[in-house]
Amino acid sequence: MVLGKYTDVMTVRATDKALLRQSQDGGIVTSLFIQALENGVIEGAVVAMPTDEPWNPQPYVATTPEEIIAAAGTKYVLCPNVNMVKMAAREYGLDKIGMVGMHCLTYAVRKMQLYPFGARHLPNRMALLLGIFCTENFHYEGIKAIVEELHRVNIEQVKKMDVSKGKMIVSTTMGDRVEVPVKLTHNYVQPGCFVCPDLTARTADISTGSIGSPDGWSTVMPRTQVGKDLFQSAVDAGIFETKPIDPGKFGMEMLTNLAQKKWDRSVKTRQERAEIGLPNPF
Amino acid sequence: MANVVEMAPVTRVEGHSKLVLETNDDGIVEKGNYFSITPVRNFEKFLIGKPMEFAPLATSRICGICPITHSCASVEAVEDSIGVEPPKDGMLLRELAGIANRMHSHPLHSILIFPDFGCGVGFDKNVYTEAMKRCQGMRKIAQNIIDVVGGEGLHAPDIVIGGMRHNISDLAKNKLMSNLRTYEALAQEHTDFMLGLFKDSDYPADMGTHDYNVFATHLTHGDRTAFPMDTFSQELPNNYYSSLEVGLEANNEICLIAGEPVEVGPRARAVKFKGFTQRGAMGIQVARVRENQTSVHRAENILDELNTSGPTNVRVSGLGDGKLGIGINEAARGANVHMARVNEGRIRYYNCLVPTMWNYPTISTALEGDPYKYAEVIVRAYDPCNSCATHMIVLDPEKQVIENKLIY
Ligand SMILES: Cc1cc2nc3c(=O)[nH]c(=O)nc-3n(C[C@H](O)[C@H](O)[C@H](O)COP(=O)(O)OP(=O)(O)OC[C@H]3O[C@@H](n4cnc5c(N)ncnc54)[C@H](O)[C@@H]3O)c2cc1C
Ligand code: SF4
Repeated sequence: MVLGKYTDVMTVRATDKALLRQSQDGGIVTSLFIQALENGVIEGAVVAMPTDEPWNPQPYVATTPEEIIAAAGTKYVLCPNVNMVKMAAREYGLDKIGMVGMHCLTYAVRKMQLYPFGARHLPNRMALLLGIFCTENFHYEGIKAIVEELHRVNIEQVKKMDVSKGKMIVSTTMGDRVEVPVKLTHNYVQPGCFVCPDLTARTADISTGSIGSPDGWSTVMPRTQVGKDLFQSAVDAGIFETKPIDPGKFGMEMLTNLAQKKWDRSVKTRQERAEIGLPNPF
Repeated sequence: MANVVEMAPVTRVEGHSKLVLETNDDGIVEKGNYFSITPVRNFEKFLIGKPMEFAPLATSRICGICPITHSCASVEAVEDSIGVEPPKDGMLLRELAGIANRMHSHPLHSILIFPDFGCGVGFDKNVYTEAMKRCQGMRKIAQNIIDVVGGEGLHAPDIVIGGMRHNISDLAKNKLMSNLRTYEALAQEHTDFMLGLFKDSDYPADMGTHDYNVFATHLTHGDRTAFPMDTFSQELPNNYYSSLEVGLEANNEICLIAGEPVEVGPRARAVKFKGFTQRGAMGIQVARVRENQTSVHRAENILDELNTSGPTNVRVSGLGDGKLGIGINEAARGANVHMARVNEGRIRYYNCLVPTMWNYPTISTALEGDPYKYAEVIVRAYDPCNSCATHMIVLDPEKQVIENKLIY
């Protein structure tokens, strides 16, 4: 239940080595969007595009493979992609829209599709939702403080950020690698994340994340027919190499446990909020 | 004593209105009264004291058919008051939104008048269905333009003081252009179909004529410099209509130029800017269906001219010192004039002279000399929008409310 419905789950990475270097994990999101663009499944996708301010992305309607690649990589910062979805259907003129996001974003889009108040045309124009796993996220000031105060790295010199095995790892343009325990970052987590129950973006067409697969690979869960067809077309085109996911301790077991942990954290947070009289979103 | 024929509400027009006709024994109208009975809505009053940004948002809600014309006239009145001039691409997109509003309203009007020309019960079902589909197809394309340009098909939030909130992408521009080509073809078929209906009808050619002037400021957008500030007047209905009883029941004001009614709308624009000569109700019908073509061509030109990377708005720095600003948008039904005084960012005075306010007295006169049975057909030719036109409280000179029941 905590992982939602999925038609398959496996360990995957892109075959294009250059793309792998630019991506966060297995290059799944970037490859799938490019495949969807080329297949005509989407006309563009809302992604988190870097801006002039280092590590503070903005939602962006990418309509070319180059733009999609430019937005690859995880930014541990709130990026309101949903906001841009409506614009994609309006001034960008997209009839088939893709979007990437963690649970809170994909869930919001599904709600807009169900109850399209103020979101006319969106229900039938949302063509592809790619979900990324997510435990928590930060405001820009929060992530800046973590990197500069805890890692002691100037945010302008950060090349990549990653969370793995209980550590938040910052790699710098100078080739350094600085780790701090994730639990030190908890004070900076945006509070909404503690209420959030879903690790694996259960409402997406395809969900992906690093948990459950070795470094450089991704766990991929096609969930809907759209997701299944797109993923299969990418495999058939030789874009991905796949292998069965490890069912054991570092594979499915870990994924399920961490998803359950996030679920339990949400239940507990909501109880605590209710006890002190704070409203809960669900 | 003349016979009096009353019809209320007049059907297949926007909003609620009433006809009170004095006829002779042959049923010919000798005195026509056409007026609004839509409840008063007080937009101009509740805007006072509100931030200027609220004016286009609020006045857009005057009407669900023509929200865009009100937003456009409103922002332009505010811009004129505070001294702001939007950049070229912003004005192009704004004009496009306004035209698109017209391009969806005119086919809707055709649907409303189909039965007046035998196109309804008893008409060839397939032809009727095709005609309906064509109208709805045109409306869909036009509404989509507003979605893209204005951010929302109905009450477009992106028509803002200073310009338009955003430009459009090249992809959007290309898609709109391709849709406009489809519209062009549909509009041609629609015009042929409507002209055929008009030709086959046996309404007299001079039905609904009058001798008043036309008033139009621009063919496709609106031009505040063409507003006759010195000669226009607004009158209370009780002074205007043939009896005080009618005047008190009327919820609309009367707008005049040099003390005389004027005709606004598609025929007025065609007469003023295209040398059109046909008069009366049928003249208006013909001018209206032809205007779809004018609109679609101008829309294509706008897209051609549009630089999708150009700025579409300017930063608004001034907050106004109470100068009277005027914004005019040539709506589907004619010149829609908004006036605003903005002081320190707040609306201090607001006035809307919407198209049908100009046309009420003109329609009333145009009814005279024709059989009362044609009265609704004549009224519909003017495509009145009564929802827009109700905006007053009836006060006597001491500012005492004359009719409490008019106030909602
Ligand atoms: C805040 C956050 C927390 C995460 N937490 C976990 C976790 O706990 N466990 C786990 O396994 N995976 C987590 N992920 C997902 C993981 O980091 C990778 O994004 C995911 O595996 C996809 O990798 P990829 O190589 O396929 O994607 P890429 O090909 O690199 O593409 C990533 C895509 O995500 C978009 N993106 C990046 N940042 C954001 C953002 N902030 N908001 C919206 N879209 C964004 C990019 O624009 C790009 O399109 C998290 C991601 C984010 C953004
Ligand atoms: S934890 Fe939940 S609310 Fe927070 S960013 Fe991730 S998906 Fe969104």
